[in-house]
Amino acid sequence: MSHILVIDDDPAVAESLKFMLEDLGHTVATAEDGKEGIQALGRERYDLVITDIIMPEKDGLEFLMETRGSHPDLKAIAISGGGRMTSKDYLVMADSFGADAVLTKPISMEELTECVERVLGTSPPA
Amino acid sequence: MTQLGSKTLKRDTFVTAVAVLLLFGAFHFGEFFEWLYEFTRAHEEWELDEFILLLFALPLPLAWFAFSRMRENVALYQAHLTAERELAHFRKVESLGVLAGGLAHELNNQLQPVLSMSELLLKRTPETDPGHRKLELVHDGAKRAKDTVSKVLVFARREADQGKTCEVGEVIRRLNDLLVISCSSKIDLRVELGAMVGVVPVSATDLEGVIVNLFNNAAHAMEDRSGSLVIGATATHLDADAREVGLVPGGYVRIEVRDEGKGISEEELGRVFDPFFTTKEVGEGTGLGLSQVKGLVEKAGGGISLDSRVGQGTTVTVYLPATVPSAGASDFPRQEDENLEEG
Repeated sequence: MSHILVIDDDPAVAESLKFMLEDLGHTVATAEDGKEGIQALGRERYDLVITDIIMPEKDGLEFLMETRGSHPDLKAIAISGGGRMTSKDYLVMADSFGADAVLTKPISMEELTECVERVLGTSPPA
Repeated sequence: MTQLGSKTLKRDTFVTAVAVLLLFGAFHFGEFFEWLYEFTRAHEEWELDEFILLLFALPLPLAWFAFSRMRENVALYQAHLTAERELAHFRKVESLGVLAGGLAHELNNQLQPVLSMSELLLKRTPETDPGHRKLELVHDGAKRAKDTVSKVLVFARREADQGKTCEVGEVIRRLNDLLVISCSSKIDLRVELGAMVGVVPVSATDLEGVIVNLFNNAAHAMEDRSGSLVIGATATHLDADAREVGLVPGGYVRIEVRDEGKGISEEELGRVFDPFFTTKEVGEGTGLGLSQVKGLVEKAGGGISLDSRVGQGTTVTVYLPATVPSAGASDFPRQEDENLEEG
């Protein structure tokens, strides 16, 4: 199982994702924004980071841009509550900033499972 | 700019009217003609006839010039008025879009713990547990809220599935049963489809949304009345009349939803496509229906028009560009029964 870092400025969202990922058997740590996320990456090694895009202090795109240079092997999933931009817009943006996948909140268990397995390369063979 | 156009128009009309009145007064009351006649007879050696003829003919080109200028000003004034209305409408929709987008973003965040935690708990709670059904209700409610938010986002983004097509007749046939069930027994629902209606550049889901929205509005307008509600679709070709609905000439599929409901007043008619405008009671409708329909239709390169008479009913006509000639290939198998009628 993998060690995952969840970054979201909404503690309820971060905690929900933590519970969901723990239910899938992963170990999870949380951070409140990109700055705290960078600090967490300096302390521990993570297999995957799930980060919100719109956050105060340091947003998800800044975080991705920074970690792509410092942690090139770290897998990343960008998440967002949507808004005026389409998920396609976020996908393009997150992709250009180095995210491996993007999900729109609220995320169901099925969506999360599928996405995490795909990004980590642990999907069962079809 | 509009005020300027309006002022110029008023001034030109005033100058033209005063000139005509002055000329009429001079000839009629001032006996100008008689005076002129006597003057020319008294000075025949001056040979004034050609000059007078020219003088009499001069008002004609002047009048034509004034009339042309007035017409140009009217056209200019109307163009400015239309542009200003469109700009005002765009700004209103734009600001509502920003508002709706922000609201949807917040709601999606707030729904995350409700949706995921109820799902997680539901998975761990056996069906025999009395809490299972309660959790199921929470989870279903959260899923419905998620759908509602995504509908608001369609308006905020003016997002339609791109590159997808569907055959209009097939979509309406599939919806038929649902519409019959939703219809009050007082309403005589009729679905009239031409032979192979046509393929349009809209996803089947979006077209279903359009039809259901128009049907709901029609059924609501007929709530306490009996009468017929007709949903029709046919392939058509628009020529010069295309511009009346803001389209370019070409092949279209015309979808018509006609009711014999209470109708819409002239005052309300200009606002029916505005987001959040509704004639329903508070809590019954969000008003997003028709603005969403308009957004989807226009995104697909189509147009929508609405004709209504108070007390007699309303007809909403949607034109969608036909991407495949009516008799051509379709995403769906052709059905034998081309004409469906349901009571």
